[in-house]
Amino acid sequence: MMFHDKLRTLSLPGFIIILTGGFAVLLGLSVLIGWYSHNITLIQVRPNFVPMQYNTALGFLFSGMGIVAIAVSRLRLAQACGAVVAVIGLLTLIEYIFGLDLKIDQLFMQHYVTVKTSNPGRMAPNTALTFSFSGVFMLLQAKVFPGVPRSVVSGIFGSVIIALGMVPLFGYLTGVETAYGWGYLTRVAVHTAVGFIMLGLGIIAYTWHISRREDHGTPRWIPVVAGISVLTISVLLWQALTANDTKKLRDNTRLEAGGYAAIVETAMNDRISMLVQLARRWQQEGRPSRERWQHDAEVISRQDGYQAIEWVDPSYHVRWIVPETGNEMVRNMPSAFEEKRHLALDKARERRDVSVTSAIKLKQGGTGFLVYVPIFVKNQFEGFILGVFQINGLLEAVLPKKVTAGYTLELYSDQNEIYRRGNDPLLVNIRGEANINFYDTQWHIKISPGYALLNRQESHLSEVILGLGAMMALLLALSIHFLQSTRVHAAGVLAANRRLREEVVVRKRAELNLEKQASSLVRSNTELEQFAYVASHDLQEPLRMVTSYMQLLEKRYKDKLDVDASEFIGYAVDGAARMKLLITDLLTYSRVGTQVEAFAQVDCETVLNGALANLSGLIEIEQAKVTHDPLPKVPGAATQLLQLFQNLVGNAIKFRGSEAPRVHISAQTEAKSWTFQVRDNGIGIAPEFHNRIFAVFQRLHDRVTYEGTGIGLALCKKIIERHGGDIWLESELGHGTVFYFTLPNKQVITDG
Amino acid sequence: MMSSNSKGSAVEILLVEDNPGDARLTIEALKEAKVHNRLHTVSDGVEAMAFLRREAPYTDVPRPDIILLDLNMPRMDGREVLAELKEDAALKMIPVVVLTTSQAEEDIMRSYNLHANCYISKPVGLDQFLTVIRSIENFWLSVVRLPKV
Repeated sequence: MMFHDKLRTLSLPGFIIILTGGFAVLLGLSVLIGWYSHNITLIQVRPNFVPMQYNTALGFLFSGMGIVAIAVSRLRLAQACGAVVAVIGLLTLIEYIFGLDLKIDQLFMQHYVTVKTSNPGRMAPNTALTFSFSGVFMLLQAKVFPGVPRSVVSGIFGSVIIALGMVPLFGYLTGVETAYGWGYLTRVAVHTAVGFIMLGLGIIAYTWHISRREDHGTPRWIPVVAGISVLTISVLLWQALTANDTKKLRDNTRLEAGGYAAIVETAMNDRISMLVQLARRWQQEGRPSRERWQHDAEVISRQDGYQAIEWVDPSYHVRWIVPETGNEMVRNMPSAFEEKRHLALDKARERRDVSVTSAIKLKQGGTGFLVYVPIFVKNQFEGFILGVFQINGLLEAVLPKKVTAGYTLELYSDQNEIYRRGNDPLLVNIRGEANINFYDTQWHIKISPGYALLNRQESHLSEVILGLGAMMALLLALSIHFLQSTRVHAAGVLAANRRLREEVVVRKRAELNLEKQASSLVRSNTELEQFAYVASHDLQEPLRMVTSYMQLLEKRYKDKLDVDASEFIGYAVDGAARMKLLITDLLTYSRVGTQVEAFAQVDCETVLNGALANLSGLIEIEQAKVTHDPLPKVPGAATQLLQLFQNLVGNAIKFRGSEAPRVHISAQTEAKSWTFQVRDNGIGIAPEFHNRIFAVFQRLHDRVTYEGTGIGLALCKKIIERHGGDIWLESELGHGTVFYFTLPNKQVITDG
Repeated sequence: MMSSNSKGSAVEILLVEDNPGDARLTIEALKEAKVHNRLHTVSDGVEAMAFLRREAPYTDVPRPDIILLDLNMPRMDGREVLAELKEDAALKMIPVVVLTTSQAEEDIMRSYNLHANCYISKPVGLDQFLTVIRSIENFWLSVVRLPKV
């Protein structure tokens, strides 16, 4: 169910992952079926190709499953598959590296096809390496290096696996076997190579997929993949060119070898035919005189390569010899004194034809060979014409050094090296071989270009291309990387700009709103204050009417009113008086906002002294002691600050305890403001009332004990707020009160 | 140091007051005055200006020697009366006592700026009110020498 859901919402990369993974699964399955059903086509593709080993097929099955599992987010399954693949690959690598046999190669299948296989059932070392990579990749899901983006790690894995598939496939397409086989070890099967390319593509698609989610628009893996791809292409080109060079050299060397063989062959046939000629004249004309024979033989023996020309009589003893000097020791010696010579003699005599010995040690010194030409006169055996050749001399003459310049040359007779020229060893891959046939003998020549010649002939184009390719890969990766970085940077700058613009717009809007709110606030404040002012003002008149006429009534009609009436009038007048007080306070309170007194530097000491003068009556009555520290000058409205000090000090005295009231005023400077303290030893205020006391007409006590309307602190708060400060208190019931307030040391505009 | 007003003809007082209660209180207070006076009452600024300029229906009224002026009135308030009065060459010499309920600083400032001769807040209590009126009488009707026009 989940699988189908995932599939339905599959993106393009997801689709590619499923496709390539599915291909790998099908490939693995079909080869497994091929092994069980003995289907050579499935296993090998072509009969002369290396088979895909059973374990390789298993590797593909699990790799494909793992990749599909990743695509549908079955990460546990992917890891399990990855583990299997990694174990297969790594164990095989261990077998190769340490020369072990872990008995895993034919664990599931007895391999009956072992074409180009070093160890039956064992996958190629590059196949094992590739499986190790893909297994580890699925196991870790690219979470290998902390800090490196997953897409980069995944991109490296994917492109390396593709490269490991591309190289052998290219080898198959161009016939360069070194591309798909390392040394003598098992080759990579052609469909294995294709499978790896598909697996790699799947991993690249996965890279694409995670890059979309994690790389925030900058696919960091692209430079890596581009670099590795170009590098792979360079390696392939390099291999192709190298292979091409090698092939040309090899072909050339083979041609050379054939040519040398022909030269040697011709020279030998010439020489032997002259010996045959000498024997033939003997047969036709009968035994010549010794002088005549020596004369003829000497002409022949002037050719290079001869040690001697001898007549061996029918008893196999050397009788005549040319040249005499240097060959004295063989005269009258039996010619068949050792095996090879005897065999050749017998053979020539029996077959009545030329016989050539293999290479022998000459009695005269050096390595040589003998050519026996039997002489029959009217079927009467008259011995042999014997040609004794020095191999060194012969070859040096017929195959001059300048002809074979630069080549290493080896000559074999009966698997034995009989001649060698050049100091460098023969090469395995660039070697020309040819047979040299004359009469009943065959020599074998092997040649290779010497190092000096190789260096002269080899083109360095392939190395140049590899170097350039590696450089291009690096440059490409770097330039893509920097391009991306630049784009990210530019995008960052653009985004920052956009954010800034948006912020400006938002801020402007906020400012506009704030302005609107401020102006509406000012309007409503003004209206409210106007209302309070008008209301309190207009309220006073009726109040005065009540009071005045009540009193007029009492005055004029005193005699006619009884005691009750006077008492009632008293209450009415008292109520009106209290109401008058409330209205006056309200008026004062509302006027804090409406008054247009300009702010100026106000000396708080002067202001305090003014307040104390206003309170002098109260101070005297209550026997209060008011002290203060030096007070600063602050910007403010003098009358309001006076009201503030008056209210606070007045309260401090009014709400006294049993002791004589003591009030102390002080001020402390802070960064941007002064903090004032008005400390008393009065009755204190319970914490629950600390906020309430600043509200208008809030009283904590009855009017009999402490008189007042309860507007004093509200007024203080309003004055302080208008000055841009704060007011609060610390107090405990029965332990006095400290009122704190702050006044900015620079003017703050608070009224619109 | 008796003013000429104390003996001869009565002092003409113009009371500009929209509140009949206040007007009556003032009348009652001035009844007890030592100085002989005649109180004329109008209830707003428009009537006051008509009275002063002897416009109908005040064609036969005397020119007041002193004006007791309330500030807050309908139609034309005391401030406007003050402003117009003090602009008028013929009238600006008549002393104006602002007698108002308002204790507002702005009103006080404004009144003096408009050349009011004095500013008095009406007290709430009857006794205080009587005292104030008596003070006015003492000062303005007895002590002060007013111009004879």
